[in-house]
Amino acid sequence: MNPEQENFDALRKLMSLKRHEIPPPGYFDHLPRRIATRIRSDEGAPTFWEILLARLRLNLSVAYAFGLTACGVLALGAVYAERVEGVRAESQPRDLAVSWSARDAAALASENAPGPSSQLHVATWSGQTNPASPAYQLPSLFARPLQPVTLPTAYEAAH
Amino acid sequence: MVGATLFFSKTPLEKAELDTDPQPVEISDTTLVERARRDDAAAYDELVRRYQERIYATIYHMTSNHEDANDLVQDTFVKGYRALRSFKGDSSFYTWIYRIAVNKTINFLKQRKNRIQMSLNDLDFNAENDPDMVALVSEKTPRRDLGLSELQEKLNGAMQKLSEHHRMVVTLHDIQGLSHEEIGEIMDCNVGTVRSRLFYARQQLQALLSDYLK
Repeated sequence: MNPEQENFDALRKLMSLKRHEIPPPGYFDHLPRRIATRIRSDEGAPTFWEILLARLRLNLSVAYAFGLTACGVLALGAVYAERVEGVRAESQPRDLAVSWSARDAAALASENAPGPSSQLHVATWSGQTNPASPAYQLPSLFARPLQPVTLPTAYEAAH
Repeated sequence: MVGATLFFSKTPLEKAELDTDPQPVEISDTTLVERARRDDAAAYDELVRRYQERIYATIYHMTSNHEDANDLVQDTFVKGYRALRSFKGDSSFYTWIYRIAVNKTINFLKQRKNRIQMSLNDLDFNAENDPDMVALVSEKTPRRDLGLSELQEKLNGAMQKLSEHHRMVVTLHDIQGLSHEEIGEIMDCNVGTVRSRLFYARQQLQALLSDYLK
């Protein structure tokens, strides 16, 4: 027997002391009755869902109030969002819209451009960086020529 | 109460056996479970009587507190009764109810965390006559000065320092005398895990109780 096992044997002997620990006298005579009583009382007790439903029924007015409040908040949110969008659209600068459309066109042009070797004849090395400028040549026939968008300020005058 | 007998309504075969054989027939756990499932309270009462001591002892050795053990043992049997319909019979009722007790106890101890409040039971009269105990208190070691109740307190204190799973393995094996296989089935782990936990737990206990093991 190795010393470690021997030491464990000593420990096991010490542990056997715990087998002598006993509950108060008569404890096991009464325990089955206590358990039976608890089982019977639990059988009559309502379940979690029954309690929840009962509470909801009792607080029907609270439930209605909560529903109405939720609907009101939603409606207010929708109205507010609509107003904010309207204000934003009015205050948005038109130049921004032009620059965005120009940027989109430039991206489209670069996508449709042929490879670098066939593109050498295209005079894009003029130092011009504005793709909306007339000096800029589009490599594709399908791309629309870019022109700065100018929105008429006095529409009636044009007619 | 283990091995108690019952005389419920017998089948004709059982009645015939009773007429010829004066030995009382012990009803199997399986039969009692079947009866308890059909709301036979007396059958479940008998199952409680059969296993209450072992279940209580396991929980008590884990908690070192009689009141907690009392609550948990009741919870275990109440839950067992409610879950009886879902008991498939893959394992014995004994293993199944042990599993409920083990899970309940481990959950309770995790919630309790470090709030250990020992409420130890008294030692029975046989403790002083136990040869191992006699050897423990009579040898010329530091523990000689200790009475059995002080030794009991030290031992329980050391047990409480182990993790829940290590304590459970030591309780089931070294105190309750269950096999590695049974413990594996109860704790839902393999035998190798049981062995390694047992070894580690014993090592820890040995270190904690070194003064009393010389």
